[in-house]
Amino acid sequence: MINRNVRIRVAIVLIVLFTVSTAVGIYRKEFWDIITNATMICYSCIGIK
Amino acid sequence: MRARINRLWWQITGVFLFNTPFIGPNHYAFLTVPVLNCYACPLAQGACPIGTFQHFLVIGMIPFLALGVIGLFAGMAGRFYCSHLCPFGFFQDILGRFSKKKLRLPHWAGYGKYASLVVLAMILPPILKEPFFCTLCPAGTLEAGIPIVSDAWFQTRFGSADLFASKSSILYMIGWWYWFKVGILVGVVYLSIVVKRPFCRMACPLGATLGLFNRISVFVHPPLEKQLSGKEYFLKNCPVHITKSEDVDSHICIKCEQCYHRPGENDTITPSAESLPGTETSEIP
Repeated sequence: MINRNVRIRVAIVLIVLFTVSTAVGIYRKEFWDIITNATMICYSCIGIK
Repeated sequence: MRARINRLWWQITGVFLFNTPFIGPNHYAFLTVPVLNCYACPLAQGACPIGTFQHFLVIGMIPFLALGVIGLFAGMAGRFYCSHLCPFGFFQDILGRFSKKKLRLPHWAGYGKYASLVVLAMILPPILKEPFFCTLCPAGTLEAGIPIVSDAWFQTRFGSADLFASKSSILYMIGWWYWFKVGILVGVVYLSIVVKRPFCRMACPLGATLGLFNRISVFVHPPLEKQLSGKEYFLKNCPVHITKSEDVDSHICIKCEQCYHRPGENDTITPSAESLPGTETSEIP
């Protein structure tokens, strides 16, 4: 296990980075397109090629 | 034993949390969750981050949302979600109870999940223009393929109620790939009986990603060995067959906490606890 202080510093950097990434992802138009089509059938998941 | 029962409740909650029929079909299926829960499941209320990740690669976009969500959850608790919330992990745990004798995988097999992540989920989707890992994923077959195709078949054959809004035309679209995918699921089912959590250990790209954060995650860490009063971790019931104490909290570990919530010195190990699966092992040649 890594030292607690190092872990917390790394975690803070990562949390900021990934929060920004999530925010950018939600802000983008494509995310809202997915919401609109959330009930569509995913043929790849079912196994239809 | 207490940790095991505690985890069982978490797992049951996970199944219903991400696949609940009570709030209508697929209302929240766009929400990315940190478990391998196929969003094509008719009851899904959360999307698999690997599926979302591939979807964005296929349309030529950077998957910011999937990366952010995976990173945030992984940074919090690493592979904790694999042991406590993942429905497919729970499925393998249940199958594991059917046999006491377990085969031990070679150590290198644990790196198979990284090959799966890089090749099947990162390189092939933008080239083939389809979420290639999803086309092989046994969780997708179990949660989406079989229920949807069965529903369509029952509708056509018996005129039964349309439970999952499946289209009967889907039956005409089934080809050899569907049966190949069912074959993969059957293989995973068989392996889950003779090996502890084989898919999580060898093939899960989400587990691979979460595992990278295991040692640096903010929460859920095992106590240091010196805090265990000089004793070894109690690894007898480890759900991923860890046998060395230095591997606790490594990328293989799913942070189930069973190894350090072990029976105390004064606790009597009951016959049922002694006969838990995984007590007898043998090497795969």
